[in-house]
Amino acid sequence: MTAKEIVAGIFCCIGTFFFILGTTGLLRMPDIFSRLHPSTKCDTLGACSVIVGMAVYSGWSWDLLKLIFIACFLLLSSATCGHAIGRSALRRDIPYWRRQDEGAKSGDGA
Amino acid sequence: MGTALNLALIVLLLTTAILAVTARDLLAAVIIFSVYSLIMALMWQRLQAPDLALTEAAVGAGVTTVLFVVTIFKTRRREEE
Amino acid sequence: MKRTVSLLFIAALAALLLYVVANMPPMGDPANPTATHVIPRYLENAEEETHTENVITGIILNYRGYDTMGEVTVIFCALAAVLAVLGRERRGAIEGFVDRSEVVSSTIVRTMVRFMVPFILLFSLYTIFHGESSPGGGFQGGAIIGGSMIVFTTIFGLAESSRRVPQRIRAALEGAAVMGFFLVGALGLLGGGEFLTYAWPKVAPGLQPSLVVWLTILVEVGIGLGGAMVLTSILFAMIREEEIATAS
Repeated sequence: MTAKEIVAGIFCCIGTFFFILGTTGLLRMPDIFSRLHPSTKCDTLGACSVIVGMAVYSGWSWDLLKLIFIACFLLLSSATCGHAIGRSALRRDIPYWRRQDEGAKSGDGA
Repeated sequence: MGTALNLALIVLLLTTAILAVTARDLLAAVIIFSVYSLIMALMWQRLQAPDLALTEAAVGAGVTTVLFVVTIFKTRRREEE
Repeated sequence: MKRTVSLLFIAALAALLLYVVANMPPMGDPANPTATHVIPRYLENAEEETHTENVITGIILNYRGYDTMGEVTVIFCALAAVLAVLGRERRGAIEGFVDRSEVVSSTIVRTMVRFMVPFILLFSLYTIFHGESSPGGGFQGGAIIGGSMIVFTTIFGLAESSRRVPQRIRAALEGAAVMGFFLVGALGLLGGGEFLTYAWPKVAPGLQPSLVVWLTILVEVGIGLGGAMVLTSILFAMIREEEIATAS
């Protein structure tokens, strides 16, 4: 196993780790706004780490250019997606999560 | 390595297929169905059929999902008992 | 009772199908008839007979041209069925549409979609035009164009979207996919070749490979644009009714 493969593997493992974290957060968080936080993080950081790993693995080639393009579009689209989901959730007055004793309140008062 | 990946894909494919059929919430069923299409696209790629993989990813995961969602918003979201 | 009977029936059917599958030749076995006769025939002769580098495109558009023409017709019939149920917008009725959603989509999303859609269209054109020598082709590229139209319509609304792709252009292109396929295939008959082989041996023997390649790409473009317009029209027909209902 060459040094290139080891570095690529480490980056891919970091990316997968963040994906696992993001999925766990998506399942465990109580409401849509706090769920957005881990899921967008896992999209950007996790996927970009995996792409960096693949870029290291592919070396200087046309694949590297394609991977850079994929990373750019991924960053742009996932950030926009998170913004759109959060904004429409806010506009629809989806209630924020509170502690149990206070109960769920409408989102506009915050 | 390849066999393990194939097995994992097949298990995921069957799980998503069963979940998509049994889900009561039709919106959830549509999203699961799009995941099914995505896994299917991966499997076509594993079977060395990139043309089919492209079609499945574009049509199955992209376009039909949107058309299903539009249909659900025009009808009912819950399946009747 | 009914449930038990249907479960029994399904179990029997599953057993039968599994029995049949178990008796099929194993997948990927080099001794299969398909691997000993069909596949070598295609792999050896496809490039010189169809002049396409991607053997799959050669098979889809040339050897199995009738099948593909049938598929394009099926897509066209699906659109006709959808329009028969939901109805098509009248010509020039676009100004009557109102934007139904009360929420104005945000500037970030609008800017991003305006930035991304050209790239999506570029990729789909690459998929269509390069289908002759790499994976892809008319159906895939058309689906990607349809996807970009869906994104655009979701963000900018039906009025803006149907102003960009008006109904007369869509109607023309939908028909052009099937008609173009048939005409390009039939022109080979005039040129002394066979139906759907795109070769004109009498007219231009010297131009043979490049002519076949260009006609194949032409058919791919027709399928791509026609499929994209079919998807767009289906989407418009599905979301149109709602907008008119709230306008009145």
